[in-house]
Amino acid sequence: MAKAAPAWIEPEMTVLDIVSRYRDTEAVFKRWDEQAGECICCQALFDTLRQVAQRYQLDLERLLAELHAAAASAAFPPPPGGEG
Amino acid sequence: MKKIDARGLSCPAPVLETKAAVEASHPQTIEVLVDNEPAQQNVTRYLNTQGYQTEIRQEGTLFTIFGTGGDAASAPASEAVEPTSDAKKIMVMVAADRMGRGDDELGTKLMINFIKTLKEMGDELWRLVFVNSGVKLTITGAAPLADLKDLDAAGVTILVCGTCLDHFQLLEQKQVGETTNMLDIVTAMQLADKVVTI
Repeated sequence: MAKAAPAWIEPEMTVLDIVSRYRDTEAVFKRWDEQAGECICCQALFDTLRQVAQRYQLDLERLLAELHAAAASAAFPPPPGGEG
Repeated sequence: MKKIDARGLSCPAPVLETKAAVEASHPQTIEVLVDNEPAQQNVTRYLNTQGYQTEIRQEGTLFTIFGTGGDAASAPASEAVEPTSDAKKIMVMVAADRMGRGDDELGTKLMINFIKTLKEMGDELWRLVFVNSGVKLTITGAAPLADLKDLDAAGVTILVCGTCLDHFQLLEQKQVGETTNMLDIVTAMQLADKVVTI
């Protein structure tokens, strides 16, 4: 069986583009809402990740890493039965 | 008409449901119900990027967004509608703050005059996109600002490259248009009947 393509998220992708391709990334944005001071998916849905990071003074590299992790875990879910 | 009831949902869900419906069936008309303002604004903006004309009705906290004229360019070939001769959509991309090369002072005057004259395109002028140093025409004190605001008020969608504003450290000085990204610009190119780059 072919594996799903690995998730890849670029700073120039918009929030909408990211959450529509990788649904699990919405939870990441929600986690960052508090630091941003408002709902990122409500107020910056059409902004690029780079613009979001600048607008809310967020750590772009860390945000990217969390988004990648969320998107990748969805693309490669753990096998049934869990770990071990 | 495609109807979506997104009441009780917060962003991005209403936009994602609308996007899924648009991509699945490319409806010519679509009606989306939402019950919060960010959802109304985001769904409206999304539909506009897909070539829909939008109308919003509000009753209390309930918003109904009507989208008409989904763009044939994004529809599968089997559903594509022949463009009508009187419905041309021209996108003008302004990639510099002056027109042409040779003399910068002359180029600046020409650009001001160009933007002033753009209104002669009438309804066919659909989107005006500013990239690179072109974004300087949209900021506080720019000579063509009044003409751009007139075009904006007349219904022309003005998109201003966010990366470019950021590069020139002008994000806070933009006075007209929506800050946009490359995906919006490429989508606009795809939807336009004609793209003119200056």
